[in-house]
Amino acid sequence: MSEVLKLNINQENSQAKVEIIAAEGLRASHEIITVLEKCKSSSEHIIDQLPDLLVIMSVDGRILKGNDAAASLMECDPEMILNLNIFSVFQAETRNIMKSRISSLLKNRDIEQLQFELPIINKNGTQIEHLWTVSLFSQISERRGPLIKILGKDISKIKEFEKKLSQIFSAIPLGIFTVDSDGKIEWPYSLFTEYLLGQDKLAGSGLEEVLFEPIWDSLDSIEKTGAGQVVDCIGGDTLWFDMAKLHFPNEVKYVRETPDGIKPCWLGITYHPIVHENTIEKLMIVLEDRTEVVEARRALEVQREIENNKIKKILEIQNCSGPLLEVTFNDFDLLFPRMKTEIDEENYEKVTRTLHAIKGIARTAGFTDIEHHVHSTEDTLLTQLSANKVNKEWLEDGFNELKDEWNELRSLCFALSGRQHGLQIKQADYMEVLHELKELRSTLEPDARVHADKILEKLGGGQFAQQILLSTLEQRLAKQLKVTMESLGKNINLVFDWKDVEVIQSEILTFSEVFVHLLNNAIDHGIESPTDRQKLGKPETGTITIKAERAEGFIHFEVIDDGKGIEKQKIIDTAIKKEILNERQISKLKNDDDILELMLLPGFSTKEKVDTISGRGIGLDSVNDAVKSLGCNKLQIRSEIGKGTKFLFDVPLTTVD
Amino acid sequence: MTEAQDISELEQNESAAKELKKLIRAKVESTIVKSARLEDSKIIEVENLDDYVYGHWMAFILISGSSVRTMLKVHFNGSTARAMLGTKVRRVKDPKALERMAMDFMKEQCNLMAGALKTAFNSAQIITGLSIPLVTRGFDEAVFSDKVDHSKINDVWKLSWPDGEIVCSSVTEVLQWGDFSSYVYEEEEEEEDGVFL
Repeated sequence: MSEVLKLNINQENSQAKVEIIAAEGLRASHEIITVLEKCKSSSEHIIDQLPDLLVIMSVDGRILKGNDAAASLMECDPEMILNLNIFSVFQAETRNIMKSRISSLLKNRDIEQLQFELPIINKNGTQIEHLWTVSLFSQISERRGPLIKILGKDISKIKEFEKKLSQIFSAIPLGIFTVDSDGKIEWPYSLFTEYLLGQDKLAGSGLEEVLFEPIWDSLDSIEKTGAGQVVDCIGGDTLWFDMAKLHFPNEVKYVRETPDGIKPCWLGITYHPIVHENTIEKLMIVLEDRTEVVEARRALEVQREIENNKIKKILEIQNCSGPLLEVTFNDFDLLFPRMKTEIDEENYEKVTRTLHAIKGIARTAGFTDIEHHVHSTEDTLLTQLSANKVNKEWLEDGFNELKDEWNELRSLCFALSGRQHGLQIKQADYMEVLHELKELRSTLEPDARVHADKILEKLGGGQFAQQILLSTLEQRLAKQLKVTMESLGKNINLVFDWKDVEVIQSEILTFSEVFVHLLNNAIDHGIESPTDRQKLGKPETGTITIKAERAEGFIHFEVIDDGKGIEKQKIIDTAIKKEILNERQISKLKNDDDILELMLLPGFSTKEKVDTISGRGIGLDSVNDAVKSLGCNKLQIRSEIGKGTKFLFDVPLTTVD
Repeated sequence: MTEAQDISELEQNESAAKELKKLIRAKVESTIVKSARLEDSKIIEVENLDDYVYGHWMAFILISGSSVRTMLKVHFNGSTARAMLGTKVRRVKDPKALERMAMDFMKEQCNLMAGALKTAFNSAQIITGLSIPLVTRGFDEAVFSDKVDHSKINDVWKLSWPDGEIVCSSVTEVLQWGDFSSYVYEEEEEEEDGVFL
């Protein structure tokens, strides 16, 4: 083969090689394009099958691309959707809204997308709620101007669910709402919230303004602090919230307008933090109408208080000995009707003394409720008396309350003892009747009185004609001593020196009153404290002696203490200070007896602090009246500084039947 | 070059462009009519060229050489393509297979149209090559088509027959006008039916 031929053959081979390489390259390119075509087809398929509708359209609504969901909305075959107008599925009003949104999107290119809800109407005329996301479609070619991409999500089921939820939410009898980081109430909230708070349009309102301001005055200081911390907790951590919530108000009283007028209601408040990454983003607050619960609880508490009170009374009755109880009952049976008469007659000075007597008897018996009740009534009455403005209506109410309390005590006592009076009348009425009979008895002739006494005795009204030993008072007076002495921290020995001395039954109460007052006075004002007595070189235990001895035509009584005695100058100072006497009148006082007699004047007391024992200045005044009612001229007082005080009075025997 | 020469050249180019449009339309029409055995078909001018998304689907092919580059596109709906297949696919029941066959059919139409065009160019001593035909969504036209370039020969027309219609479009870029200075399209005698499937 010639060299030229060989060269030609080599050239042809190399040319063929180049062509083959080019052809292979072309084939490879074709294959990769085929692969890309398949990828593109797959992507299109995914878009077609999207559950939400996708439309790309011109600004006038002409569809240039739409997936299967869009075709379904337009009610056409997916391949026939081109050039249909998306606006046709909207009603005039909603169409304008859609156009307006697209217009604002075109005007402001900074807006990436707009999202809003608009309903469309389907072929059956049914309105279907959609959530629309509208944005500009980024295209390589802008040959025909801007294109709009619309994503539409059928939210009719969500809306339906939301509606049902809203109905349930509205029907829940709870106020449920959330508070944002600015302390504002957010929408939505349960409509019951408006009912509970008696306010509407709560969205955007401040929590403190809506929830706490109307009840601010009723919150205690801790709750006020807590109320101020509720909003502050938002934005904080849960640990802080858990500590702070202990102070949040959790049960508050509101006033609500109802067709029946303004009524109070109790709201329970619970606070629930909505937490994100351990930071409280907002608070959910739940309000609950707890009016019925609170009222029931309060009724239960009242009932418990009543029962506790009864138990307390029962214990007081059980702590009181039988004879003392008997004497107390008899005394009260006389004192309450007496006070009623005094109130009716508007003799308020006497009322204060009767109250004082009742208080002393109650204290002796250990009936603390009555004692404190009377003390409080006394306080008010004395204030009114000094102002010369006694409220009779109030006093009558107070009397009735006291009497009810006493009747309750008596009923309990009867129930405990098993004693029944047998008549089907109220206990209180029975006592009223008994009292009236006793009043009538005093108007009878001696023979008739004996007969009446027998009837009264049968009715349980006490023994009238008979005499009674003063020693029957000893137990009561000893109890009185013990109670008063312990309360004042003093040690006192009480001595009774009245062996076999008798008084008439009907007057035993008056004697009792007198001795109780004088005893209290001696314990409170006379006997020194053990420490003081020790300093003075006296025995730590003081002595009070109650003495009675029968003399010719009268009984002589003495109540003697070995206490500190009475400072005359102090009496004078007090009399001036209390404007009982002026300086001129004081100068006319002749001797110590005259000075000591100042103590018998109404309103006198040397004790600056009033307590339940003594100090109102009605004690000695009352005692003086009492001894006078027994036929005595007056109560006499002897006193020596550092040695003691003696009260003396003589009761004529002529008063005894 | 004088102004008179410029005008003469412009007139020549316009004439050549018209001839090229005729050629392209003729090859497209004859290919499709024969392949789909269309009767009573006619060409309808598209008045509004801005309706640039002409069909749900778009089959296209590129005929390219140093003198000329032509993009042929057929815009159609699936139902039309299936109808064009006619009795050839009557036994095919699977919709997906049917759709795939319809797409292949339209690609093949592109191949045939481009082949006919290439042959015509060859006859005029203009050498061209063919790309592979592709089918994509018609919307892609909106995304990727350039702004209308009046230096290129743009043509859109509708081929309509009683049972359907397709939209055809072409964009031809003449790279060497000199090769087409004396080009005149001459209608050819009908050839044998194209074979498909």
